[in-house]
Amino acid sequence: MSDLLQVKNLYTRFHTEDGVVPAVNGISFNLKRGESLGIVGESGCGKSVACLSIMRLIGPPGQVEAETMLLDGTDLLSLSEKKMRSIRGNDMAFIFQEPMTSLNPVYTIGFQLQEAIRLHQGLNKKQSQNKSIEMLKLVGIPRAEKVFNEYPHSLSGGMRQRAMIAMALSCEPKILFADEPTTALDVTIQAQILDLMQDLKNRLNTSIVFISHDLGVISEMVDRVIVMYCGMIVEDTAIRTLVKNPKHPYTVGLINSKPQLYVEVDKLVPISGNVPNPLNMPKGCPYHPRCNDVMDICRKEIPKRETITEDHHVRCWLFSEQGGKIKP
Amino acid sequence: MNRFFARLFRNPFKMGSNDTNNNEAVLTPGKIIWKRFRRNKVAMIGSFILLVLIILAILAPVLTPYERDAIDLRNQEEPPTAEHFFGTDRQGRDLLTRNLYGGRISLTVGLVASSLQMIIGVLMGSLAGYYGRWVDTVIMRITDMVISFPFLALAITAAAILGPSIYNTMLIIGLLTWTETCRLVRGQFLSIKQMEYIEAAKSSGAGEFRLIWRHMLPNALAPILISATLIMATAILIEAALSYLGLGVQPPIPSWGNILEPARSMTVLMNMWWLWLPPGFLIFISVLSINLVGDGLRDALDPRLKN
Repeated sequence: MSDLLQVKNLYTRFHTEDGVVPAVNGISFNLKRGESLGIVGESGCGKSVACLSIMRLIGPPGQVEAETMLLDGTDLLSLSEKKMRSIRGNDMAFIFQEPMTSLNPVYTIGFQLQEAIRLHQGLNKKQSQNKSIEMLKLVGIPRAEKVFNEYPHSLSGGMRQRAMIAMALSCEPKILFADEPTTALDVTIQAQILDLMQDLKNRLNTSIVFISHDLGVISEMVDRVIVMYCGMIVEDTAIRTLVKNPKHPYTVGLINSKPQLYVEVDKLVPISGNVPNPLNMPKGCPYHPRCNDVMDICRKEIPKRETITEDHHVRCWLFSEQGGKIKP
Repeated sequence: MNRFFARLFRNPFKMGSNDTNNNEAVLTPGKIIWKRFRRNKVAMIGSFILLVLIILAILAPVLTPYERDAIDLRNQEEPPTAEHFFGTDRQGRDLLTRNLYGGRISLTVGLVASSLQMIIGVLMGSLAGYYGRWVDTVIMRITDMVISFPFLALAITAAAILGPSIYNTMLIIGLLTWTETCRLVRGQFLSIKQMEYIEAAKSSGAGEFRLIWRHMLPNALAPILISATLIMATAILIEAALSYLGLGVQPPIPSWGNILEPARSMTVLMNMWWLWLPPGFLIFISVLSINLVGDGLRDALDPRLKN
């Protein structure tokens, strides 16, 4: 099976008045058709920016560079803006974090749903209307015909997020970027939305890139996972491996800072310190000021991507020959 | 081409309401605003007065038996009588007739000038707000320049150079008042640009034109509408001032401003009140009622004032 999305050495920098902010620092990953990939990390580690970069939605002062960025063999970086527009929404769609503000308040749900459909699919009014109502039903909105004519302010957060998902899926995209789609929702709605996405993914064979800082949500949703820190991929593997056998100290920290259902602990262990200021990155491994197993070499050089098994890579000196291979 | 324009100018508040055969009432933003506006008594009085003024102006030929410019040299400067309710002017023309017809001109100048400034202001403001960077800088510096001229001096100079006429009056007022709208729209666009639904529209493949016209402008419509209303009142005042000075609408075409013109003489001011009181009052009441409507709109459109 060939890769649907190939990204190699993606860099996104923001040229601000205070200096250059490296938001994404050379990430590479592949995504297969129908596969779901999770991206985890703390706030500000470049998860969302990476996905927006792939959709080329980063405007000035941001700057996107990559060695390769292929969607189904098409080079996304060299496409004209016009071609890119026809891909956005049609081949790649984005679900935003905040359902309360992601719908335009002056238009009805139906109008907004129809817009994408008519932009890309060339259907007439009647057809696009039927299609949107069908989409609303597909995402489990009751009274779809009525909701079609309603304005966003009369819908609840969960309903709006469903409408957003309906909108994103209306052109049957090859890839769906979901940027923390459940963070703003309460837990019961969260579960419903996750089930819905899982179900739709299986039915429409869409690849999903699922961004979250919640490992619990991620582990339910995805096949493979990338752990990001300061714009770099620090660990990538299958989700089962990551949960059972995390390697990078940052991943271990993330897992330890989460309460577990069947294990009773007195205190959760947070990761000490904060994400460093991107304008003032620490030398060497960006995680070293917060790392418990820090060594001399960590402060000097950025670690390389080490292979643990064929499907498990980690960027940490603890696992490299050069760093002494402290851990197996 | 027609269909293109129809789609372009479709009322966003009505969007989708007639798309399906659904009988249940949907509370559109338009309906909500109308409901709130109706509850505002002062604004309703204002709109009623304005409506009366407009109807009087439209029905002018029906309401008076006299010709607009008919000179009657036997009846010069007559005080109000049963034949001439508002008296006559220096040429013996019926003043009620001239005030009614003057309303047509004054209100039209106000409306056209305000629409003109709105078009220029929205265009410049949205370009500045959307594109930012050097476009923004250039447009805002032009705005600063226009604002920093003493207004009446510039208007008078322009009227003197272009020559006084109705159309030039509209043009001058339009070209000198767009700055407020421009700054307003720019500010609105700067904040709307950051909204997530704009990012969402971009991510579903909307182009720049569509983004500006269909997604951002309708969200900035409320303050634009309010400011256009208030500027219409200002435009009526400026027209009156220019016409009073003889630089606006030229006789024999009447406007409330140039009917006032004889009031430049002290004798008229002291002894012949019927020459200047009615047009003065009409200017006052129309400006007041438009301002009341504007304030009412502001209250009805302000999302922070949820009922």
